[in-house]
Amino acid sequence: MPSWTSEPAAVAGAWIAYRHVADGIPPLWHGAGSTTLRQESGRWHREGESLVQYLALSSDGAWAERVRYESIRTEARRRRERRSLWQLRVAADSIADLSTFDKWEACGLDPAIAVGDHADTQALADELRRARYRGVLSPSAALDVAGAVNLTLFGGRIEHHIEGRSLPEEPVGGPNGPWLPAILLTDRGAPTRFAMERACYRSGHHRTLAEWRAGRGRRHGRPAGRRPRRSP
Amino acid sequence: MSVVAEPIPAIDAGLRERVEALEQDVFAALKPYQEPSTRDLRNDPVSRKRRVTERDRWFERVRGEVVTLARDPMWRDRALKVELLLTLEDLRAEIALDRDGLDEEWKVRYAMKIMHVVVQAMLRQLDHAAIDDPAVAARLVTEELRNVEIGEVARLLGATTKSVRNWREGRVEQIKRNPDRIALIGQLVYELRNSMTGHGILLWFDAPREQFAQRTPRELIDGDVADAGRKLLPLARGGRAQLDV
Repeated sequence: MPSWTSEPAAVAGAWIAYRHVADGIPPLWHGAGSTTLRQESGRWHREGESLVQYLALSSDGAWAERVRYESIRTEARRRRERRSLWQLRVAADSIADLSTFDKWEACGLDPAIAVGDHADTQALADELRRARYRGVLSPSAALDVAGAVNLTLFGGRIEHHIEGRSLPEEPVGGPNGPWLPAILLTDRGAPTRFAMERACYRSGHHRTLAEWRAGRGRRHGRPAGRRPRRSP
Repeated sequence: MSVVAEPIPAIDAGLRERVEALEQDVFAALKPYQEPSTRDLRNDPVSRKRRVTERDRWFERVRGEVVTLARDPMWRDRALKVELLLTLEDLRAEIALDRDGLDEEWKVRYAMKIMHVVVQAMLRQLDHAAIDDPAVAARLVTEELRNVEIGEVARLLGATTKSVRNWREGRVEQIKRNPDRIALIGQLVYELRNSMTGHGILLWFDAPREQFAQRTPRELIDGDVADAGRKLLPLARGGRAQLDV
């Protein structure tokens, strides 16, 4: 039995998303077998168990992920970054809509999980996969700005690298297929100053969550939701 | 396109050349994908025959390269060899099903892409094996940090400035001082070099990390090279692509 009290809404849609990688690294994960499938653990998966595509719905969101991962806190470090930034079009259905803290609470889930310990979101991801969701929209832990949302897709995907034109409306093979149209925006980019200034670091205080809690307290005064059960 | 910006001097340069040749063959087949533009061309038997013949020739060449690589003693007990042979079989099956050579559902292309992933993993494996040799690691680090002051590079590697000057000029002798440290730093620089400048790499080693109680990578390496490797290699590797952290 899942830990939510009511199912997250399963949404279908088309999104423009962003993702940064090292120069020369493909923008999406598509492994071939056990020796090429080892994507390092992240918020919604554990290394060796599955593949996941971590995307942000804004370019600053993608850059903030880099800032948070590398703990970039100075102009000197920011300016010496050299990353590729990709723009992708995603068309998919059965995406769990947990894009706001309100939606977490409405499902009976503790909103703090959205930006907190990975073990809780990894357990929730197991539940979402079992319930046949293809991915999840969730508040960004890295970009501490109201409305900053990440889109995470479960499973492997392959980039259809578009050059010299804009992103096509429809991916090859239709929605939910392995191919995602992708444009390389830069292969020598650095996180924006805004992304660094508004990043929430791992040990940091997530102001957007705190503000949401303060507003919710004024509105309802209700206790927070539940945490998912972790795998043994 | 290789994941490797500049070739690392491999233990067996001939083997690396063969893997690179295969990588280029597969990548070239993926890159200039042009569908026949008109209905006439799609249905024309001469055009169809030419498409199918060209692809069959390409597949035979790739098959020969794959089989030669799989027989190399380097891959005798390696899972990557099995994966390469399996992707070859997948590719053969998809080509057999795509009789007019149009690949309208991109299934042949998908199999090629997966094969490309495996071949790139083989290249990375060769690179990592080469960098385990401290002499190769020293050359890589001094090349990637060529714009960093020699004293800084020497302190990072635990070497003398004279040695670093020699390495920069391509004179790499057998390394007796701090070989494990130099090999580890070589592996880390290999992972970091496609994400930041040489100065950025130096700053990375001196940046306090939250996950290590504000200790810097350099402090970890100074404390215990083996333990630092267990902590820092996943950190550097995880920086290759965006994670939601």
